[in-house]
Amino acid sequence: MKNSESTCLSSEKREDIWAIILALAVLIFSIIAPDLVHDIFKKYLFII
Amino acid sequence: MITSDWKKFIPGLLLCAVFAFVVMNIHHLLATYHKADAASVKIPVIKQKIASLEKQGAPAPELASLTHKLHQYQKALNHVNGKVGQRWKWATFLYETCQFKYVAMLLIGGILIRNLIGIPKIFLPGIGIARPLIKPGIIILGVHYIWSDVVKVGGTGLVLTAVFIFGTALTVMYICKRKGVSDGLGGIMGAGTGVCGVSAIIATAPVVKAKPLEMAYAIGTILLFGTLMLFVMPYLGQWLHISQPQFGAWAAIAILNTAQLIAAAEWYGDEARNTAVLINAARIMLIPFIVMYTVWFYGLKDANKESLGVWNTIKSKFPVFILGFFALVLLNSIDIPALGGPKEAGTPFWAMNAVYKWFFALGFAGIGLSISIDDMKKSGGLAFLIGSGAATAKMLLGLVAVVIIGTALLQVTGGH
Repeated sequence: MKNSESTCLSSEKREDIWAIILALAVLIFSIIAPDLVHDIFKKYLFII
Repeated sequence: MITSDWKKFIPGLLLCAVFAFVVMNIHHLLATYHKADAASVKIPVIKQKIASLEKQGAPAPELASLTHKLHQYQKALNHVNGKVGQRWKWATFLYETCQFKYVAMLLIGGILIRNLIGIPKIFLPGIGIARPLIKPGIIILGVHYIWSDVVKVGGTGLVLTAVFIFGTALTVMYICKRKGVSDGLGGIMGAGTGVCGVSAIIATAPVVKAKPLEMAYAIGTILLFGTLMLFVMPYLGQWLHISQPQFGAWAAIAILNTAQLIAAAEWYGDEARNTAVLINAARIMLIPFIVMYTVWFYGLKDANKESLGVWNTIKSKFPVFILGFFALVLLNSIDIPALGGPKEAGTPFWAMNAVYKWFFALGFAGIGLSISIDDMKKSGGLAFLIGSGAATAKMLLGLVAVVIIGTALLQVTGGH
């Protein structure tokens, strides 16, 4: 029990690691297709 | 990393996504018509200025800058198929006078939906998980900074926050002890009003062995004060004519919760947000130290009667995501041509710069929809008075400090 607690990540740490993974995913997509990423978030998502 | 019951988060996350999408579109519409309204007024003025400067034989760079401005205004007007003289006063009133931007709409709208209409239980887990989506937004904002900013603004901010954090924590803990408030409540209230609110309370609670009810009191106090400041400070800042970098630093001192701080600063403007994010990065790195400080103040040891250890405390309480932020600051400072910069069109950092607001919008939707008036009522008693009194004093002293420091030392340049 004690062992599993020590190996388990706290929710705060899990949030932090997910934040890094998401930011890394955005970086990778931005390297692959910068114009597409920019247009999606600056143009296509605005419909009015 | 992925929990087996991940499906329970989907309805709430979808609700936040839809809410953020609708609000971002309303914000976009207001911003577009506000720009067109301003352009409609300014185009004749600039045209007149250009004509008179041409007569006087003004230098070319001055004329070029005005022509560029004129071109920008004409673009804004063309965007709504408008003509010079046509007005959209309603957009200027809502967007500029009332500061009715996406941050305000998501927070106020979220609070109204949660407390007037109510939210079915099925959405609550997902709404809770939407709040931390502010963190990837903060990491991505790293492309706005270079190391000289970190040293200048972060250094100033670190000194400012360190003085205020430890000053407030010591004062609150001392008064709580004198007034007979339990070590548990006094400890978490001191840490909470000193630094980063809820995170510090959660980090310090096991150290001072705070009871769940005491944690609810302390978190309620921090969130209630933060919510009040979030709505009051942007208007107060405008009324006091505080510059954007000064506001960012002031908010970083006064607003304890990271999400509420980013929301208030983003509401005030981009420059305010840039300063606030950097000072917040410096501030949250102090969380492990506030835990050690609490251990020292109350002379505590853990359950096994062993010292907690400096390294273990730092390791367990360090906010890891901030390393991602500094990694991007480092990459932006090295100035790698393949990555470009946030203002260099067609580059990866320029593309990333378009994304962070959507993460913020999802996070703010989560915050707004999770603010329950009933939870706020949990705060109370003497500890509430001491905690909010200390937080108010910190806000007022913080205002004096940023006015004395001035704008230059708190301004983020962002480099290229």
